[in-house]
Amino acid sequence: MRTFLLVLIVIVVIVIDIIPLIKKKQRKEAVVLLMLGAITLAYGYYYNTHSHTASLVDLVFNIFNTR
Amino acid sequence: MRTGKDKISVRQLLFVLTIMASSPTTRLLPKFAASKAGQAGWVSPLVSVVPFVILILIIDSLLTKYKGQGMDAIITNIFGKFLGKVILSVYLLWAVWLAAMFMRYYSERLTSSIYPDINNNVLILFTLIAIAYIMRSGFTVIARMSEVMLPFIGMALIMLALFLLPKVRTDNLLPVYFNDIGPIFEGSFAITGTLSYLFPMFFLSDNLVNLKSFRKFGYIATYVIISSIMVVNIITIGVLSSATASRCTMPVLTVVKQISLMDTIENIEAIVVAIWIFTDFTLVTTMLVIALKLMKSIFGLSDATSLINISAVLLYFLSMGISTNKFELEAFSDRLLPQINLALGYVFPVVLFILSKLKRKNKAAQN
Repeated sequence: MRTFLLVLIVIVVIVIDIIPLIKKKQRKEAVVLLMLGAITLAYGYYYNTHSHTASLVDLVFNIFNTR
Repeated sequence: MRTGKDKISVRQLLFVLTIMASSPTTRLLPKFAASKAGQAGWVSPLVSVVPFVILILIIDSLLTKYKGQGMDAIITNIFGKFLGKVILSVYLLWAVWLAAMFMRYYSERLTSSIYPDINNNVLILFTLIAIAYIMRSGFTVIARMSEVMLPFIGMALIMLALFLLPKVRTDNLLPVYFNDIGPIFEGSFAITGTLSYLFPMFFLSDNLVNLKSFRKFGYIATYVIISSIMVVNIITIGVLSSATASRCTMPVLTVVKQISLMDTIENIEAIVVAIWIFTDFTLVTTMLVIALKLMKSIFGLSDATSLINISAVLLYFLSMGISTNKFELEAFSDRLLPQINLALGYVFPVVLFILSKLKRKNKAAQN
């Protein structure tokens, strides 16, 4: 259900924003919008499936080897 | 100074910075200073004056040399297109990270103080809707709103300080010895790190007017910000003592809850909560505006308005997934954030300044 909501929201937001861009032929803006949409879907899916353990701070601590 | 529709003055930009600095001031800084420098923690803000004034002079020099250009254009000019874009991407990640982190702090602070029965995601969701809506009107709205609100925040702070003055115990603040110098320096890291947000704000400098007065207003802003952080540190450490302030989850709120004037004026912590909400809102919005400006610059876009909504959705998931709990977030603010802020907000501008000088010398030698 949460994944369905995520996909629905992202698609609605992208469609609403991409229509004026296509009308104005702003292709670069449209591509960046789609890219951000893909990132949102990917991270949103990860968060939805790991909501109790997802932690970017933990990731950064591992990168900098700090605890 | 009056400005055009999409332009803001340097004075307004510094108003925004002052409000942005108020958020960590009432959340982290007294606790950090008390834990690192003990009862001498209230002196720590003074140390931050030196690096902050140097940062102001460096930015002023760069803006004078590259007139009419934003900091993103200056970086690309000095480092070249490829390396410049890599550096801008690092700043983009920093701005997005800070926006997500302060968004989460905002909700955690409210749920652990006045809304214990509300989920974090509800607060984040409704705030992000407001942020996405206000961002469509441009950064000028935030700048003008800050100009209007700052005097009220200042008055609230002065009022709280006056009410708490009788409860301040001098033995909690003194004595300060020479061998406190090391801990005082350590205690100033978080404050200096917070003031480093001045540098990314200049990614918006192509929308700025009245840049000539930057140095003058910069000194005034330094005085206002440092003295307000000192006042908050003095009342927090002075009332609670450094041992208690360093262990409290929200020392400023704990202090304000103690205000009682002739048993009639009590429970005025709502003022602090109002300051939190407004300052965090400004901080998150500004970071998001900077992130959009950087995206515009990196990808060569003509307009970034269409990215606002999807950025807000992404920010929702990032702020929810940034940490599993508040303690993890506080550990990050304590151990890593000051160093990252110092590197990106002070060390890099110094490198940029030196390279710009070397480039000028090389050009003069070639001619």
